[in-house]
Amino acid sequence: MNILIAEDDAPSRFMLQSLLTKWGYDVTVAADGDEAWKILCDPVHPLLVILDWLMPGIEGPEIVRRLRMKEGNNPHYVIIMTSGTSENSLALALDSGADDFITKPFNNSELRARVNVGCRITRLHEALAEKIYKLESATETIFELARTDELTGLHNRRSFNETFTLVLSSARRHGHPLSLISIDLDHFKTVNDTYGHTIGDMVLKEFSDLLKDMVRIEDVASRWGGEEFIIMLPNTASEAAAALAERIRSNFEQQPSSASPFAVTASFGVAQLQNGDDEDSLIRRVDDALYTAKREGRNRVVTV
Amino acid sequence: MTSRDQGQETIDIFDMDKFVHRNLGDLDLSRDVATIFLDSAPEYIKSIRNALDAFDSVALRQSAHKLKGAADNLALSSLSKIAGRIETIAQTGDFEINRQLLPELELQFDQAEIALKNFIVTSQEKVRL
Ligand SMILES: [Mg+2]
Repeated sequence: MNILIAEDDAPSRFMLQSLLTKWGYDVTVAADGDEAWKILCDPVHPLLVILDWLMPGIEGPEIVRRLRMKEGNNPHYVIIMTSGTSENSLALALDSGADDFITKPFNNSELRARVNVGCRITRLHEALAEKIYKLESATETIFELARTDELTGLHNRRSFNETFTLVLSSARRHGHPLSLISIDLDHFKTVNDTYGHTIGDMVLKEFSDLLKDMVRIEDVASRWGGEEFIIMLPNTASEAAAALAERIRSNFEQQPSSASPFAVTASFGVAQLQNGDDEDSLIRRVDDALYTAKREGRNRVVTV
Repeated sequence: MTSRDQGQETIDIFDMDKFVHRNLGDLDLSRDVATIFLDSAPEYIKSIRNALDAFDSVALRQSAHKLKGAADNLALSSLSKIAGRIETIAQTGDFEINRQLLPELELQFDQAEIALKNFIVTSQEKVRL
């Protein structure tokens, strides 16, 4: 355990440093308040801190106040050293945010006991901080998983819907265009029935990888369910969306599939946000366009 | 004056047993701390004198406080007492009384210095024996 000592009196500082070293602690020393604060601002610094109350530069209680303002999940354990009359002792030391105090000249068994308490509590703080960190990253993973389609790694329907509401109201507010591309793989049931679901899944993954490669970072490519996909394109008019759909269609048609023995194609519907549209009406129109593409012979792009 | 009184007076200047005990009985450490004190204390006294000359009561209080703390730590109770008086009086802003206390402070420091130097030499001889 590393301890920071801030003490302006050189012999006291040396003695304290020597005693703590004898007791097995690593010690960092500061000769005044400014030096102590500089050390405490390093990204990695001791969490167990012994501060002299009265020092040149920033005084002990002010250092504690500043520490308390900036520390997060991993708080410091601070012992303030006070001596005698001119400092109003216990209550003031604790009011400034210190965890403990010790009076100078210290009795060394008391010092040792108080430092040991600080060490124990610092270890508990560290263990707790690590648990909190793990919990937070696990929560983040869970949120991430809840918004991702497991098979393809695209956004799932829930994620699409959440983003759609936000993007749609932003587009409406700023008068920016917004387009959707609705996609359905052609005769996909035949792939599954003929070659099995494993091959079917591989085709879905290949198509999803193609989408990820071809859309812009701001576009939201999602798996709607089964062999249906939907792409949301902010700041994009239907002509540009249709051009992208056409490039995807043509690439997919030409790309030799490693999974499927025969070429799979896809049909595309494109629609742009109009005045009076809400989420449902826009999705209804893009789906109408997709059905038209299917009806007209598949493997094509239809814009409404 | 009885020999017991002399003993008490000596202890008031420097309580060696208390000091060595505070250093966990480590004579090397005790000597090092005493040496650092002897290097530092003249500066502390100098800043007390400077603060008096500049009529700076904040600096006077701080430097007297620092000397008091250092003396306490070294178990130099007479020196600590006079430094403590200067610190207390500094808060009232009475520079004249403190100026009068300065010779007494210097005398107490000289006594402490003799005792500490003596300790540094004799404790080393003890080890050699
Ligand atoms: Mg101090």
